Amino acid sequence: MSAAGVARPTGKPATVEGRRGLAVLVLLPFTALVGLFLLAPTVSLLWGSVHSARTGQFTLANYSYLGHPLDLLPFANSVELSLASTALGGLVGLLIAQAIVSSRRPVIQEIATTFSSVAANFAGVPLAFAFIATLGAGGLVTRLFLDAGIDLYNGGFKLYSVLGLTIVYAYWEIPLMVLVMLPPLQAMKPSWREAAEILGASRWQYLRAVAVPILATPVISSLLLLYANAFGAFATAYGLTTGFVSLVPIQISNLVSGDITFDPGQADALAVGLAAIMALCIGGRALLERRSTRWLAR
Amino acid sequence: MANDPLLARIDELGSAFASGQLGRRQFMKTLLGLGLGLPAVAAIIAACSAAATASPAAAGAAAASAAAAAPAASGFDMNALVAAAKSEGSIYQTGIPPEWVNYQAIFDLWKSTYGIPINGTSTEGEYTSAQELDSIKNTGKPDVGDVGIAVAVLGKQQGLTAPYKNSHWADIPDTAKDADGYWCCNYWGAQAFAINTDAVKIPINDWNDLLDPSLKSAVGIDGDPTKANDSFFAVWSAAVANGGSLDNIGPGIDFFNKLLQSGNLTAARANTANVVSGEVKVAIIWDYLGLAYRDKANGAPNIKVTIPASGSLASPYADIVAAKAPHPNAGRLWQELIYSDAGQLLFLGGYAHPIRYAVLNAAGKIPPDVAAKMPAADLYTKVQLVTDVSKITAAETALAAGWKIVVNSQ
Amino acid sequence: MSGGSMTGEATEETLPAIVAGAHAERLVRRRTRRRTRTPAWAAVVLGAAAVYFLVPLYATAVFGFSTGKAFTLQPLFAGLADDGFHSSLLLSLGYAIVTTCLALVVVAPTAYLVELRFPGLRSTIEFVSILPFVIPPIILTVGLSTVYGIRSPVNLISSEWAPVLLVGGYFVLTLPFAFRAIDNALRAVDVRMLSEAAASLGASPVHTFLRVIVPSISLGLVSAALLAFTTAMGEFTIAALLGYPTFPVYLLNVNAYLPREGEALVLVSFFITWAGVLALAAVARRAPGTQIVRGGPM
Repeated sequence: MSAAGVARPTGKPATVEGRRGLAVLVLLPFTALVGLFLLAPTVSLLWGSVHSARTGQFTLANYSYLGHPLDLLPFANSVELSLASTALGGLVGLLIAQAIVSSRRPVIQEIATTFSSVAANFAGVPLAFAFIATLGAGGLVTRLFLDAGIDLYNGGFKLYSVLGLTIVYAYWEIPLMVLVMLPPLQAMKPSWREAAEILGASRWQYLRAVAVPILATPVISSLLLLYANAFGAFATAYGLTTGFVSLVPIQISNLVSGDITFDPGQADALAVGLAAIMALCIGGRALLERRSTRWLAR
Repeated sequence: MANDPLLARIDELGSAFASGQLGRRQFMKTLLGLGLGLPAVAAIIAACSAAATASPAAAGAAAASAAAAAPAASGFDMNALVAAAKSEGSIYQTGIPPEWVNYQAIFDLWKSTYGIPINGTSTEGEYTSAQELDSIKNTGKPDVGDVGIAVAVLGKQQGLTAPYKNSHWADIPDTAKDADGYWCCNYWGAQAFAINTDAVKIPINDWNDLLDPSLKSAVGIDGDPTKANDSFFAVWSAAVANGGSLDNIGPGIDFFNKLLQSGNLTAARANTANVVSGEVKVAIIWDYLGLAYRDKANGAPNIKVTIPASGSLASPYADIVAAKAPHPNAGRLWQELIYSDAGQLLFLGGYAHPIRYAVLNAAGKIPPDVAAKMPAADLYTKVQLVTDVSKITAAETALAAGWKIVVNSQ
Repeated sequence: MSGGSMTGEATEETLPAIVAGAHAERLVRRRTRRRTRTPAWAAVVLGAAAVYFLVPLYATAVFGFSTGKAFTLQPLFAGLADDGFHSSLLLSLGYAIVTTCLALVVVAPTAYLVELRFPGLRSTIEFVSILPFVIPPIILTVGLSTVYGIRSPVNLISSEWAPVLLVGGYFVLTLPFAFRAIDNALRAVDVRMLSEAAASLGASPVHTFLRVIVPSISLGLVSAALLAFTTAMGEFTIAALLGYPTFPVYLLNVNAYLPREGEALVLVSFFITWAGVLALAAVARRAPGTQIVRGGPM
């Protein structure tokens, strides 16, 4: 490190342009970690999906699920669940976020933000059980309804269905939406609203001409994030039920650690399918995000 | 065996003890002096005490037969094995979790009897059977493992297990062991109903009782039958009980379809939390799991475990010794402990039926307090033990195809 | 959303405003402060949200803090006394601290260098930091256990180096959030100018980074640290599938043999986490204009 400084005293101060070697060295840990723990598994996933787990030979058989409707059921379920919970979580989350901004009480904002970050992490088995205790066949709310004369389960409602899972997923989709939408909503300057009012715009016109175009990009990009999160979620569904609502992440885990079936090649192929869908969402979101930072930069 | 001088001596001692001529302590010391291991001694004393009320001669005979079942029977040198195992220094287990069927007590017995340390991380203790084979193949560290029957057979095919016929080999039914000694079943559990009697007011003794209209969303299994062993056997048992057979799992799928359509089947998993909280009021699971839930709940709620009358299947586990085990003698000694009376009775303490149950029961060695905690023995008479791996594979394939239709019909 | 008439209020304020022209600023503030009554619709929405989020927690409490017949705190004490509780909590804490340090020590210099010296690498790094979203934990675990598992030549899982896998996995999971938080903070500050100024005063690059840059982005670092910590503490999927008894995995297991105690612990850990986040938010509030935004769970 000191060799360059000693060899040629040029009188130039130690600028940031010097010591390229040191800079590359600093980048090394990052590269190593990413390479070892992110890229290597990804590559092995791709490789494993086109090789048979038993014989090690090249094969496309693992992707056979693309051609069998019954095998595509997990994907259909996952898509349906993700769309539903994104819609629910997105709309309600947006509403709550705006309510927080409109309340103009910093304490509400504080409570909401901190609670949201904890609730967003509450996913998994604890959340599954909390909802079983609430809306399960013997749950608190179910029994309340029974006392009021409404038999939910006889009427066809089940917690263990796409509808039920949607309600459960909302528990972390809503906070996620709130956290991600609060900054753009707060960046909506009141002066814009006031300017619109001064110019004679009604509330509806203001929403249509000003609010929606500005917020469209962050809202859509947040919805894509919610969708990707729901699609890849494993812990909550795992804690709630297996076998009656088949989802892609559950299928993948069954293929690697199930008692009866064990086929890492198929698991890899399913994982690639999952990743492809996620890539579309996240890619779309990245594109939108770059566009929106223009409008909302302070 | 009748001419064995050792057994004759034990016969003599047993009579003396039963008739009061020999004190208990002296009896024990003499037996130990003959080279018998502690488990055998305990068994002999128990047998003699039980038979003492009958007659000294019977006691002597009981002692002899107990000794015949003991490790130090003709030709086998237990002491040499123990010495060899101790000199190896340690034993490495895979897939043997302490909280499973009372294995913790077995670990404790091993340590207190032989003092040989047991290695193997708790992660490895939780391995599935498939992972255990992988571990044996790729790491070469494990000496012993506890695997499902299908994996045991697979292990033999892949040359990963070593043959060893433990000294109780004769007691074990032929269907429950490999003819050449490459694997041997150690315990089994049968499919049972765990019933929350606080919430369920009707008696439930058999499969058809589950269709009662009062049981809406009450009946559950623990997971996806195409993935989890427990649930798979639930469907298969339903098949056997409802006109099907080991070769025909169709009626089982039909039964569960009926259960689903009637609204009685819940998709909630029959795990501890859901059973104790009352979410699943009738769980179709292994008897040892149901009994463990009953103990966990401790009256809140009251849980009763019963074996369905028209049919239930039992799936055994098997102990295996790794082919290239680093400590082969320790592995064999472990098997001696597992199949000894003491080891087998400890499985019973974990509510699993030891593979030598019939022999132990006939010899009167089942402690009454342990027996009282389990469903009555006569409920188990119609239980079929499934060890034919080809039948298991065929049934799994048939289930995978048929179950999708049930799931899609929602 | 609040329907107050602007002209009416302006008239009341007009005279003092004309007289004290310099107080116009304060005037605007007073006017807006008068509209701080929370609008009715917002109150309803927030109330309904509170019900949705608190009822499942209450149902958990009803099950956890009870003997089955009566309310009792006993399960909580039994749960806290359980051996596994301490060991798993300490394990998770350990992993969380290591992950946090790693995230800060590796990501901050990297982000700094990319901003300053290797702007060409920016899109690559951004792509890499988005990749963990495309590869959800379930898939990442499958990849990790293939590359470093029982069946591979580089078998880490069965060796004493196994924990490295977990830390690596957590680092990858935290990467998107940590990088985003630190990068945002860096971009809000004129890094180039600061670095050049420091260099011209004779500071070495390391000195510049540690004494000049780090304090300027301290809130971004705190944000990244918080995200890394909560992610690692709450992560379930990787730990469960690789078989590590971390706290979330312990909570799942304890539900199998101590169901009431497990639920009591779940509830308590929820509120402890919330208290922790509140405390951190209070610290962050000291520097106005910044927010700690949580990206989301998996």
